[in-house]
Amino acid sequence: MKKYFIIPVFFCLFFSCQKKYEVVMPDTATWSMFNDPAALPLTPASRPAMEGVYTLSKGNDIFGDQAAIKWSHTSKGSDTTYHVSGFFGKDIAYFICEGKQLNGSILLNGYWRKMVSTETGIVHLTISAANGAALLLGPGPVITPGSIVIDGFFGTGSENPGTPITLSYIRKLNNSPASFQIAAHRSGGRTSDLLPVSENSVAMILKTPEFGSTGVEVDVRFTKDGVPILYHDNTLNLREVQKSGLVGPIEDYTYDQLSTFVRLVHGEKIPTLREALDAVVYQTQLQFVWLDTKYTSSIAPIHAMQLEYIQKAAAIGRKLDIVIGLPGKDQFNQFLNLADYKNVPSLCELGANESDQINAKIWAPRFTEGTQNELVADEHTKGRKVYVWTVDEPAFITSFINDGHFDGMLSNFPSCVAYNYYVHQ
Amino acid sequence: MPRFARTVIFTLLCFDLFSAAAQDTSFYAKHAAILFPYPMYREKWRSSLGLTLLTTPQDITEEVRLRIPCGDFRLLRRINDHFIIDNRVMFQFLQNHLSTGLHFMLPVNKHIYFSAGDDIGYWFGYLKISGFNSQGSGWLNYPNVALGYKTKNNLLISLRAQVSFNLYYKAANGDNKLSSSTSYYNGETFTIGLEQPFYNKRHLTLGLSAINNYFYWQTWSLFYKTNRKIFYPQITVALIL
Repeated sequence: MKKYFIIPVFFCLFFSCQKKYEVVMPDTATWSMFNDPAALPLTPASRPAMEGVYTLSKGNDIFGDQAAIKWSHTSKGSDTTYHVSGFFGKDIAYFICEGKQLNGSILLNGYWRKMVSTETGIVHLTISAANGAALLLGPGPVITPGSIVIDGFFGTGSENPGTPITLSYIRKLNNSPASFQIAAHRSGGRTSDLLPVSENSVAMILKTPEFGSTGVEVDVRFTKDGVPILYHDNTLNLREVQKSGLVGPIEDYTYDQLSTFVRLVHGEKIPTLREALDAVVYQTQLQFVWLDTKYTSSIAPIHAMQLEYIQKAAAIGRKLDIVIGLPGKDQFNQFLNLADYKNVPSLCELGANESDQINAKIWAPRFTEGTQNELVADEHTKGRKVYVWTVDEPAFITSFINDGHFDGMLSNFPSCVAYNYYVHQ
Repeated sequence: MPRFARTVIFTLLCFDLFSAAAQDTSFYAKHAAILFPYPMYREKWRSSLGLTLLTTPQDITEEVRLRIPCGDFRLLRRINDHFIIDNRVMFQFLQNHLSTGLHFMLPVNKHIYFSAGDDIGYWFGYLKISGFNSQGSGWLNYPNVALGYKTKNNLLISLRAQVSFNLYYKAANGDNKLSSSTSYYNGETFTIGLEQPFYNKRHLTLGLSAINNYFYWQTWSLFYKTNRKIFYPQITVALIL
């Protein structure tokens, strides 16, 4: 009989193995035309002029029939990096490219990814002079349907792009409601979404505009010595950080200990809230920050930092809303302890009544309650905005945008929200 | 009924006629089996009651890991010496799964047994608590085969391979509804089952399953959209009644 014990033992060993998912980002620096020393940056006017809704006549079997094309940029000192993103309607697909001009043509070089899978690859796109580049690079471009045609190829993995894709401009991007916020969960997406940077990191904050985000939600906790940091889970675990030997609640460690010994899954340091807000204010054009309070002690230190960074943003002419998120009763009660709490910008995840009580700037119901259009309309009459969280199912994202009246949406797939918002008519 | 299904059933009935020689009807007196593909020669009904426990991958379900055991009731109904109907109810009250299917049992010799079957399953769930106003349901199809080995020491070892197809999916959040009737291959499950006498003539079933699916019904409320198969280990412990 004893020999049969080996069967469950083997099975238990098998169960202890975890399947590791991985997206290997392709090397996009191999397009010789794009690397040509004669290739120049695009003109400032050409980028916004290129933005719009495009129809796909080739490649639509992979990406769907439409794309929303949008530019974003981040800055570091005097350096500004521009990316053009194409958001598609199928399988939460997108491409992210850099752009240059060469001999009168516009070249877009980058990668594509499907968020529902691990599929990715290189994409090379061209707008020839006759297909709109002359118009875009000329003075005061006026774009009409069909005046821009983007042609190119995409491949799978690191293979050279060989599958054709063609996009034709059909109309401007939707911008109604104009203040609609595409808020990225955990600053851009979760570890499980297999992005190239870690959730709740400065690197993700700088990456998320490429996914179409106009705002971020970040998770705030305190270290043992009282430093506010970004971290989601209750404990240090291998979902969020690399092996370090440190275990247990993050609140048990000082910031120096965490900074010295702990790295996020992609190697970044756990950022302080100050580092994160510095990145938002000085390096991005993000318009909205949701500070999700993952702790239950005093909210006063976070409020002080909120005021400081609202002032810093205003000082450089930035439009930036920073709100304190209240996910539960404990945080709500702590919020009531703030002097003049009714004038502190907040986002309340509890009911509409609690939002009234604290004069929350935003009421944020969970998506599982549905569109709640009547309640949303009530809140609008009180001057309150309503953001729904956390919507990841593409069919629900489409439905909430088409049938709901929300002012913002939190998602792990901001590119999917961006597609649905920008193509909405 | 599709021609293919008729052909399969006819073939299995032919096996039924020619495999009588391999019957070991004395086996029942000493053994009872739910996972083991042993024909029901003498009894009309056979049942078990137990629990299953599923482990969800931490990188996807994070801190919302399902740790609630799922009740598991199985009821087998004899049709003839080689055919049974396998009925199963898995229940967590907020989410439940019912299945039924026809199974063909073939004794190859006194130690080795084989079965093939096809089950249809229906799951449904409700979540109407603070912040949730969700419900979901769906249909699944589970073709399966099993191979059993009876040791000299009366331990019954079975290996079961099952694939699943998602036939229909419906979910609603408040007034927001979605449904899909696109059927697709959902994944595969491999189970090793061990069954032996346990206490007071009762028999114990221990099943260890490796589930590799795009969608698993116990995770419906997470609404996680993925085209990646997710690995769920599952353990089943049951007493044969």
